[in-house]
Amino acid sequence: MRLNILKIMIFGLVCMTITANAAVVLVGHPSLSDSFTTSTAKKLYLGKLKKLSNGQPPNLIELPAGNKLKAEFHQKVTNKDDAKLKSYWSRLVFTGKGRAPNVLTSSALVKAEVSSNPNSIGYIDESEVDSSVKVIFKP
Amino acid sequence: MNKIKILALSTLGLAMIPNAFAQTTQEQRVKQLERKVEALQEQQISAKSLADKINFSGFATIAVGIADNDAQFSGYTDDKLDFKQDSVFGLQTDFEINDSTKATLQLLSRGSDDWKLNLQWAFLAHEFDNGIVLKGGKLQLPIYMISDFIEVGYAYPYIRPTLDVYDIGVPKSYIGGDISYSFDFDDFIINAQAYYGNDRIEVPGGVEAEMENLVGLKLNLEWESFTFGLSKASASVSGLQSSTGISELDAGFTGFNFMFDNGEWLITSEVTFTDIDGMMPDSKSSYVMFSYNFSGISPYVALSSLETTDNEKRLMLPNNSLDIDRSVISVGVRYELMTNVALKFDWTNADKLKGTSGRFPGNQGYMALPQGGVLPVNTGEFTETNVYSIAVDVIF
Repeated sequence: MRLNILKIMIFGLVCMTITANAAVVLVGHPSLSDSFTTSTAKKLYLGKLKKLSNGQPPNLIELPAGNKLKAEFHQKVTNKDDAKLKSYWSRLVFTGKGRAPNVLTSSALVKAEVSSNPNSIGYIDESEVDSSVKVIFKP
Repeated sequence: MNKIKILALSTLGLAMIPNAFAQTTQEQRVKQLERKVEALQEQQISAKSLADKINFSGFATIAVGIADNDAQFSGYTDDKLDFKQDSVFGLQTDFEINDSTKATLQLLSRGSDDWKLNLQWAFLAHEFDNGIVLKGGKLQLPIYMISDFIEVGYAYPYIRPTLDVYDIGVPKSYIGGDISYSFDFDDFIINAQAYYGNDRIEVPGGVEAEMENLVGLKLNLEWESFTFGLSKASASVSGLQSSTGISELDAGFTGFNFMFDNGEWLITSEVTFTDIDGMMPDSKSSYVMFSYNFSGISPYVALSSLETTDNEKRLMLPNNSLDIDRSVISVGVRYELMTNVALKFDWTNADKLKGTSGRFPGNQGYMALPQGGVLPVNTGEFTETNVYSIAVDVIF
């Protein structure tokens, strides 16, 4: 009996490790009909895409500087590190051309924001996707 | 006795209350928690929308430098560590009036201007449903590639945008209006911008003049990591009688710019031409800058030159007084200290003046004219200069 529990625990741990290694995905509100390519996702996350298919300006969500998922997402999509992103956005902010994305501190908050606001877009780990959000791009 | 019974019963009752709670199902608890989370989220969203309406942002550069002589290139001399020349503080407020209209104010205090507080920008911007953006008020003159964020040191790799292009007397702001539109097809983004206005400007020698009928056009094409740009502008300058005897001069500007930015390499280049009637110098400037980002450490090299192109019009002036010729090299490195703090070191050398003043303030003298007014003359004292500087840039 003990052994079985141990086996199940080990199995669970293995599963968790596998899912923790899943890739980063871009998610939006389930009502969103947009789907992105690397090129349009790059435009989106560099503030160059002004409107979503619902006609509203996108509300971009970022994770904080130093976050691994943020690094993975930007390495795959914008090819900019934290400092480059900060410098890039400072150009838009100080010219009145854009607002820097909102920063939320965890994937759970990103999911909560995306599922409650049809214009919000964020990225989470694939393993955390559920029916409250829709995958709109997988880099 | 009864009292005691009641007391005992109520104690029992009290003791049972937590029990009753324990018996409520977990589902109910989860529902309660969910409601709380929802309430908190709503609070968060409404708080954010308030913060969305007024947005404060700021930037600062504290720079210190010294030169190896008194040519005063970029303002530096050899007698003291100077903290004023490249230091600047800026505070910007964006008010969202409604979803498509906003007001922007930017206050700026420059060390080289004795920290005088200036209202740099004050404009209203409105975005129409079709994507056209209209701006009006006191605006940045968007003539160069990085005009819009020229004061924000954090936004570029070097300590100061190439003086050969960015500091040749072209006005930095104007009062008027600006219309812009950006559209994309496939992987291309095209930005078109047109502006009209006027302003009071200062011309060399401390004379104030009126810049009128300023008309400009800017076109940008972005594709992948590349940006190509074209900038054209013209204006008339009046009120110069005292120094030149001419009441109105036409001035023109043409610029071409290029940027490559793939996250590792940043390569920028601009070639600009200025053209003004009469004896006032016409000029040609250019630079190319290479910067490579080794995760947080970005060395850079910038090569530039400035020359006047109508020297034959000023043969009667002594010592090539208003002529300019020079080559400049800047080598430096930028370190990312924190995500919003950068530290930079720079060495800049300017030489190859070919007998001109090289636009070094240290080479400029003035000669009084018999009929009144002054004539700038080249003292020819300095033929080369080196400037060493360190800067810390922050944004907040």
